[in-house]
Amino acid sequence: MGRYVAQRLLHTLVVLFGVALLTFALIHLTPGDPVLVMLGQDATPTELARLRHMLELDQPLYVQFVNYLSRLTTGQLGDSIFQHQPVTRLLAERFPATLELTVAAMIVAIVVGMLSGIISALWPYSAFDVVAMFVALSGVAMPVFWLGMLAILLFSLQLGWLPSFGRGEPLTDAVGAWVRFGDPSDLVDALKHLLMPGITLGAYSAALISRLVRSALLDVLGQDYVRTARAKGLRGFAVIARHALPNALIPVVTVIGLQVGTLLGGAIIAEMIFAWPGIGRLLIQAINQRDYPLVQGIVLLTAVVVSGINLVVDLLYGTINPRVRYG
Amino acid sequence: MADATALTASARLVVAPRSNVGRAWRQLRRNRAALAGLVVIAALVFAAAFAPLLTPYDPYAVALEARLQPPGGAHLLGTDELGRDILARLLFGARVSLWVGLVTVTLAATIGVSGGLLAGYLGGLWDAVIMRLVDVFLAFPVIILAISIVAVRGPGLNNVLIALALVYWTNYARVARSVVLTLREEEYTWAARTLGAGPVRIMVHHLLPNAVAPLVVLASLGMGNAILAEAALSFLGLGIQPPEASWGSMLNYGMQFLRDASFLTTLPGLAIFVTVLGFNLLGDGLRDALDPRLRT
Repeated sequence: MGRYVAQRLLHTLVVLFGVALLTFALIHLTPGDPVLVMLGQDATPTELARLRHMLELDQPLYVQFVNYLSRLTTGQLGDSIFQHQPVTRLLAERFPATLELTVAAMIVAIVVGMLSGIISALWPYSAFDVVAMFVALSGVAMPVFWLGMLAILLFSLQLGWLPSFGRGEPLTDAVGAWVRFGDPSDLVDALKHLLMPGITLGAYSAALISRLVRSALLDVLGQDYVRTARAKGLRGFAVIARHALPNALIPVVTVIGLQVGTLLGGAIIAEMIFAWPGIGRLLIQAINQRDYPLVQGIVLLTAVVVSGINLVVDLLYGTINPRVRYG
Repeated sequence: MADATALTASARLVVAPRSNVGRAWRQLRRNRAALAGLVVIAALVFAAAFAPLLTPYDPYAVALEARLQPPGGAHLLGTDELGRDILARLLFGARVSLWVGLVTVTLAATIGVSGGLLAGYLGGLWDAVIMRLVDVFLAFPVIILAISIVAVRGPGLNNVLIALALVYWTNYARVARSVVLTLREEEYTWAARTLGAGPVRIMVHHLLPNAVAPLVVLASLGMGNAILAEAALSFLGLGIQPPEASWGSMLNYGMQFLRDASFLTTLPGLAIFVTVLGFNLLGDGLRDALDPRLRT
């Protein structure tokens, strides 16, 4: 197990190095002069030279990369060109909102996906199963932005139940206010704002998880050891909870881990539809302004988060899968 | 003797896939969901191919006096904010979607399969470098990597194709590699090697044909994913640029009229949904028919 952990850590380090290299290379993919692209045709030669110097683009490539790496190790991501602020500060301001949305979507995905997958597997080809699998099939083909618009159309414009855009107080603050002052109004408002974006974003992953849980559990339920457990007189619930589910969930854990990247990516789109003030909107704004240091910072942040989660999932996988644990 | 071995080996390669195709087709025909997917795709190809014949309207003809007309009437599916016929734009948008799907899958598969074959067959340093590269690309959320590539390259069809190919090649690399790893030590590979076949010949003639089944499945699902990703990029204003008709950008512009003219968003969204569903259904069906081991 110790060897496995060391291997995974080393692997993550190598991937992070590659991630840094790719993000670094991004700016050099620009057709033509990146400085000219960022500042536009009207920029004076002095302005161009100043930005080129500021971004170190006047240095040899390897010097640029070494400097970039050494800055990264001290947590510096440079300054945003148009907002005149450190990229790290902008990320610190906006990432919590994205995280809140992503976590909400993840909860929707896991709860809805697992429950419907389990019910479907226990009663395959029942009415519930048929409907759930049809919904899941649709969910995987449904574009996030279209689902979001349909939701706004129905729940905000037609029924007027939920706000169509924006974010309430940060959920953590709202919970704090409720606990300390006993005033739930902020919390209710925050949840109302979060509900539609969270479900919209989580729908795809819920559909995927539901299909996977169903087939994984159906596979396991057909195994000899499950029959043995039943034969020795265990009740249905105990068989499912103690014998079938833990084994069926091993592949599901990996897929749930992979969904973090999907959800972070989808959050960009969900944020655009619901005017959610996270890093997704920041990214699109940065792209439209050609603020490359900010674009690089956001892309790097998402890749580091995904790599971190992958590491956690791999380690978790090691502890729940006996083949790795004792291997 | 050597000739005989070569003959059997090549006979197996020539004959085996053909009978497999027949068997797979028979199985696919019995799968109603997959057939439905196939019908959707056929209808789409038809619509894209004969778009100019299927509608009397020009998808680019602006007619401000006829803007935002609801479905029904002279314009079957209504008109958009510039008075352009929505049915015509949907039909021409199908061309964009199919083209993006086709080119993306071809490019991604070419890059990925080459990488996967090299990694799996040569092993060692090749394998380490290529597969770490795959891991690095997988660390980025798909849509974010695609967005950032388009962001620096600039919007437009060609850059969308490059971005999506760079995002999706990893799937093909992994599948090709895993097939090669299982077959590298098979007797017929050794036989070919003994007969003096070089690495390229072995990879292309002896290993690749065995990877075709899983790759076809991946390609069908990949078409759906690519179409979805292009729609997302165009929705964000980073993909296909106006006035070119793309379902994603139609949604983008339609969103401002969500309250008063919701058909501007529901119709292109429905087109994307049904198309992706079609490719997914076909992909699932192909997986069951071609390669039951891949079933999830």
